[in-house]
Amino acid sequence: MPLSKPPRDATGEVVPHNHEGIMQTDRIIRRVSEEHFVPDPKAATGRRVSSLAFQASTIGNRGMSVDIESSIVEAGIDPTTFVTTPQYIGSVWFHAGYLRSEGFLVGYDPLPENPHHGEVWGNFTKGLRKKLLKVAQWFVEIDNVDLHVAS
Amino acid sequence: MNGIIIGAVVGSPAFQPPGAVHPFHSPNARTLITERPALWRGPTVARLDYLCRLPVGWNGYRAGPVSFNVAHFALRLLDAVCGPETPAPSLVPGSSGDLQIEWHSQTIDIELHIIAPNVVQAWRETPETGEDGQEVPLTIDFTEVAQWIKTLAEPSSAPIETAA
Amino acid sequence: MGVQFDQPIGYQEIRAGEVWRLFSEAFPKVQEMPPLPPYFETFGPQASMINLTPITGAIHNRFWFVSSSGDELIQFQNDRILHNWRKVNSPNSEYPRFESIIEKFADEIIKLQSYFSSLHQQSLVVRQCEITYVNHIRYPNLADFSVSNWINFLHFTAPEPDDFLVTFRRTIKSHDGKPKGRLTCESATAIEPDGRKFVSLTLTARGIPDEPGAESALEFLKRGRDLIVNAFADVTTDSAHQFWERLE
Repeated sequence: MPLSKPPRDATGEVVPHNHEGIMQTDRIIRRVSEEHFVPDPKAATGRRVSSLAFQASTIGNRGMSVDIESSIVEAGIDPTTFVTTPQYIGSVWFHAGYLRSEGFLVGYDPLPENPHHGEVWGNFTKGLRKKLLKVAQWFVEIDNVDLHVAS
Repeated sequence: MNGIIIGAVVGSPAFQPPGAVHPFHSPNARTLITERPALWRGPTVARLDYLCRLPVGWNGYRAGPVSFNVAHFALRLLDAVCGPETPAPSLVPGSSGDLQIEWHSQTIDIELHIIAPNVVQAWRETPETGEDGQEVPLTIDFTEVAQWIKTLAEPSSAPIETAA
Repeated sequence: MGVQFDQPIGYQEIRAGEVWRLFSEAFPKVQEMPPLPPYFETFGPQASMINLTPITGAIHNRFWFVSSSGDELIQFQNDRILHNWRKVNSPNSEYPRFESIIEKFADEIIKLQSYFSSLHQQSLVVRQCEITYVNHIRYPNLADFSVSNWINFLHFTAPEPDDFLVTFRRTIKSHDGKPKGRLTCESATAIEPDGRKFVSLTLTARGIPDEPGAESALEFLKRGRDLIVNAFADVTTDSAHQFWERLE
């Protein structure tokens, strides 16, 4: 079933919320650009993903953009194809339940260019961003880049 | 200011090769301002230029380029803390025009998140700080960060040279 | 005096005409200039006075909104507003008092902030403030001119230099001793359009306000002005003070 419309404020902006249609076991995808890859001798490949790959925007409704896999599948689209269009870009995933257990809200925020767009709202402290890096799993893996680096 | 020498013109200036300095009392002394080239600067300026031109949506969502003012501030920050031999940092764009400066070595990680000019979250992880690291909010004084960066130069902690 | 701020949401250069209309009654003439690059004071062991930041980006013009008499101008670009006063060749041209200057500038900032709020709910986020006093020291008799008679940190042995350029800086600190900016003093020889030599003495206080809002920015400018007045008295000689008092 498609996700129901999210709550909006008077200006039409989606307000932070936990969408009841996004189940705890649903996979939440976060695209990771090559601009986020940095050299690190501790990484087996010599490269790692920067902690800045997981951050909220400081404008708009101040969430971290994500793609909701269940919404993409519901629309009959292959999620891997969806998140690598229009540009081929890496991505990682988390369970919505995990994000919520860390204090984040996981909501639905459809956009004209991305009807399966969601947001993760919360306090993206350095510690939490590093934790997300440790927990993240590749959805679309990029060669020669480590997600997990031993400290 | 290592390598910067400012003099005064006395008498008729004659052409001098770069780096030459004559004392004040010489009749042919020439005003020269020379600075030892810093290895990190060229790649960093090139990378900042590139980041300021990123297309909207570069991150697969709606992120725009790094803000011009943030990029300038980043360079002023680096000018204040990096010596000529400091390795070039990695520069990572944020989703709101912000920028993170990073160095990673075998034993030290340093991340300077420039949220806006004068708004910097500086963080480092060393064997002493442990996994949680040490986080310091800063505005325009980066003396403490300069101390962190000095430890990068120690042989056991040398980071990989980056193309930024 | 001026402030540097984050580019407001919703502002694009095509709207510069709307900004001009805020001030066009008193500043009816417009000129376009290349933009001023960002300038930030930073502190660390390698901090240099050289502000070479050769990063290119989208080009925004700087606009001069000039008063009818030509003695005042507002400089505006997407991240800056400054108000300048200059003496023009008019018998009635007098520098206004600082108190009226800061009041005018405060009014201009408020107008600008209101305008930006109309584009998107926001306040001006001020990142840097600066106030500059430019003094031209014109000496009565070129033949026996010695700069050390005017500026007390410059002492040249004979012969007097043909020209010079000197800069020094002092840290401006907050009440808790942390750096907030710099007071910069620059002195150099220069030449009038008619070929006469003079010495320019420029004092600038530049730094960050306590809070990134307009009120705090104006407080910094007031403090900066006091620092400049004291520094001017400090770097100029007693004989120079006496000469200027005689002129008044």
